[in-house]
Amino acid sequence: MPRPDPVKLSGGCQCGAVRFALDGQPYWVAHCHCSLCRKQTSAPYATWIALPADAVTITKGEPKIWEDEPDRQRGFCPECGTQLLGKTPKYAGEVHVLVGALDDPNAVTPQVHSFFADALDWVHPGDGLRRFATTSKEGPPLD
Amino acid sequence: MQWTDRRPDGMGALGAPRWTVKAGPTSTARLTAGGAGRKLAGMTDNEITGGCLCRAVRYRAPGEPLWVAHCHCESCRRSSGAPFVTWAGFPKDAVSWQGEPPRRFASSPGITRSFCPTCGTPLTYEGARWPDELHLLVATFDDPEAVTPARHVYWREHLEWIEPGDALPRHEGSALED
Repeated sequence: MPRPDPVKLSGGCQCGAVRFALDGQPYWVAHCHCSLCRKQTSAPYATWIALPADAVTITKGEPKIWEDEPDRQRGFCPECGTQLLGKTPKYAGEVHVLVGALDDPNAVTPQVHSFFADALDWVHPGDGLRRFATTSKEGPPLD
Repeated sequence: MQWTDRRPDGMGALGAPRWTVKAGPTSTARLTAGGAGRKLAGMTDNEITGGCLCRAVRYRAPGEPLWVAHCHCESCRRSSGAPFVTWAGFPKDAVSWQGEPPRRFASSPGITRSFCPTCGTPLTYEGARWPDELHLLVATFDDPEAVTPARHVYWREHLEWIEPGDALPRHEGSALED
């Protein structure tokens, strides 16, 4: 999967209490259909942009962190609940940012559907992107 | 400061102190103390259960929602962090709550959303245009496949790279408008 072009983007939560800036070259942009991402965002699937950790800066406020396992963290605004960030030891050195929290989500382009084996049965993307049972690193596309 | 420098201020699953809930119980959605197993009048065994990621907040709702729709509006997107969300509408007094009260947030005039104060999972929407309804996010259901979305609303605000492959109607605004 080709690495996306460098980005310089801003984003934040719905109430404006937490803001962040992205400045660097993403590793990937992907839709994730796994049950944890669905539950975190309360959406049929989530869309993430993965960046080197030092490319993500909190410019205002403080995300609240929730961990389901040691060091597997998800960050959200404690005032309005907007989900913002994730990081996990599986992707050490990366921070993942939810594209729906960007000021301009159209500025990035998703590349694949990940964890499509977990997709809800009424989710039928018509975008032509490749679908992987888990991730593109862990097996061939499903179709 | 980079986000990875931050440490969690607690881990509910590991017995950290309870979180402070700044907002009181919802006044419109009924919160039942110790409500597990309690049945509301008119409710059948066919019910929907759900809650947040960390399970601090749980709810029960009738098995047949009034409607189910995908919403592509900017506000829903921003509140979730996802490209779009999927809602199910219920009679307001037919949803009961257990566990920690959701925290409420006025996302725009006449609109209140709620989320889990511990893990942040978005949960509900209440709008002045739907005074008798409570809307629950379908992805918070224990079984999101128990219902089937019937339409896309606020399609005029959809992201350029969202292209559903389904044949559902696409409403420019709400289904009330067109």
